Amino acid sequence: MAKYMGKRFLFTILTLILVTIFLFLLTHVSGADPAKIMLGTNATPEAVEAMRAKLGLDRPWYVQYFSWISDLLHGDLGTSYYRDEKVSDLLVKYFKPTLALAIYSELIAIIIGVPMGIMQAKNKGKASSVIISTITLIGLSIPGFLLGLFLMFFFSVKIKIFPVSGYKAITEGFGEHIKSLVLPSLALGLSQAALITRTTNSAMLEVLNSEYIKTARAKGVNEKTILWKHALRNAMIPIITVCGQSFAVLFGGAVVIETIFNISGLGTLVYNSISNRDYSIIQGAVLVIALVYVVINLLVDVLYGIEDPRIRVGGKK
Amino acid sequence: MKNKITKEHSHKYLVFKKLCSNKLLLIFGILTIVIVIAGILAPVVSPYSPYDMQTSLRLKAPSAAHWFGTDTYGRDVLTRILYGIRMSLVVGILTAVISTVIGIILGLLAGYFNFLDTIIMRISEAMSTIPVFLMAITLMTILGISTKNVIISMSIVYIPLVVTVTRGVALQVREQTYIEAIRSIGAKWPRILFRHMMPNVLSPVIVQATYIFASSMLVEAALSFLSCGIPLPAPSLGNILSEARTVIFSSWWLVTFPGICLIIVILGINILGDALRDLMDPLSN
Repeated sequence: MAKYMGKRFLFTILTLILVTIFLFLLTHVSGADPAKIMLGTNATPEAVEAMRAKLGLDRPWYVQYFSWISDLLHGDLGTSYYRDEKVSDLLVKYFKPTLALAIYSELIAIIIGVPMGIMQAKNKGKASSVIISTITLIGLSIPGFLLGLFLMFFFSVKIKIFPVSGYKAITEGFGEHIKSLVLPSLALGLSQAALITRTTNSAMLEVLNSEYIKTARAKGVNEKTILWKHALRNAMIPIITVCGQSFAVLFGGAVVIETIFNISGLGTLVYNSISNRDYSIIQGAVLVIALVYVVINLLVDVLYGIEDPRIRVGGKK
Repeated sequence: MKNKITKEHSHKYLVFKKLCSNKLLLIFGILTIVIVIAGILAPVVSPYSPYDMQTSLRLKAPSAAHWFGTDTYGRDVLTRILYGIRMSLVVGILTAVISTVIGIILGLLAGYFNFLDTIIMRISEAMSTIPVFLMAITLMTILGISTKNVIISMSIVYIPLVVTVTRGVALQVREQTYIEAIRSIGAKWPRILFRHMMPNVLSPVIVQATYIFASSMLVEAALSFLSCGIPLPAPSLGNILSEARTVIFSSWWLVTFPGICLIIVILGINILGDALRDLMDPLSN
């Protein structure tokens, strides 16, 4: 297990290094000059040169990359081009709403997705299974932002149950906090629920066809125990994987939903930085989200080890 | 007694029958075909121009002259939707084709040459740590906002997906005896890769391509919705919705009609993708 995890960890580091190279190259390829962006269009060429020297942009690219990386490792993501704030401070400030949104959406997705998938697999060939698969297909085809707009239209404008927009921190009262995030979480979470339903269904179908389930049925174990205890446990791996991946997808999808519902999270931060061409913030935010993805995948792998002893043993070789 | 395999037993027929048995899907499928054809024929079908502004007709509710109403500039919404569908379809198809072609080449190379495998797979793994939408929007900022760049950035985003699928199949195919046989008679690698291995990866990749088609249309709509996609005044379903957002409380038709059209088209492509999967992989039934 230790060796398996060690190897896995090394790969993770390698992936992260590649992500940083990728992000670094992206801003360099774009040809955007941070010095010009910071000083505005009226700056004299001398002033721009001086700023470039101050920011260290006159050095060769590989020197710039390594100094960027060494700053990164010290927790310094640079300064925003527009606001006089550190990128790391901004990210910390804007991270919480996005995290809350992602967690609630994921909960909605799992609570709806897993039972629906199990029901679909259990009732294979019956009308209810066809209905679930149709709903799933529709769920996969509705863009989150559209769902957000429709939800907002019905629940905030027609029947005024939920606020139209805005975010309330958990410190402002739990009820208000939840209320402000119900619609955005639904808008984000339902398409992921559809994805989880699909995965759960196919994983369960595969397991339910296996020999040991037939054996269990033959010896008279009741259907409920077979479904929830024997089958689900073995269908768990693809389900955990898709749940883990969807969490990262939610972070990415938050950009649109946060702008619609006016939630000041990472997504809004990225969106505003795009119109300002504030690359330092975009770099930082994308890096944080990639880090979330990588960490979650690592956790998923650890869960595999706990869930399935075969993987644990396999790693010992 | 004749023991002939009749048409009724063929796999294609069974898949077709399965599709038709789900009435709801069938209805959506037909609706999609109608909408797609209307979109392709937009210049012929619609009596108005998508750019023609008439301030006297601002924000008019649906009527006999304007079935889906008019927008904030007095343009006919139905016309804009039809042209928007055309645009979305073009962007979706081009993205699917470009990312599939590049992805297949890279995936085959990775699956055949061990030294390339590590490099290509690590890079595509690193790329897939960034969620699709975030990656697309970042690339759009860097490349600049234009229709061409929407297609380029979305193609880049979807390449790793195709690479992973292709490489997985290529790794299995590489070990088959017939590949060994071809190699032993002295075939060069391009011939082995593109003539003998490629046909095997095509069917899973085509299924994946329809998924990319549908999903890139969703991403394009979301990008345009945030004004980072198809630039105005050219209509796309996303930027029509984006303009509609400001008047959502007063003019319901501006959100509802383009929204429903978008959902139906994407649903139709997803149904097509599922049907293709069933058709090409008999085991999935």
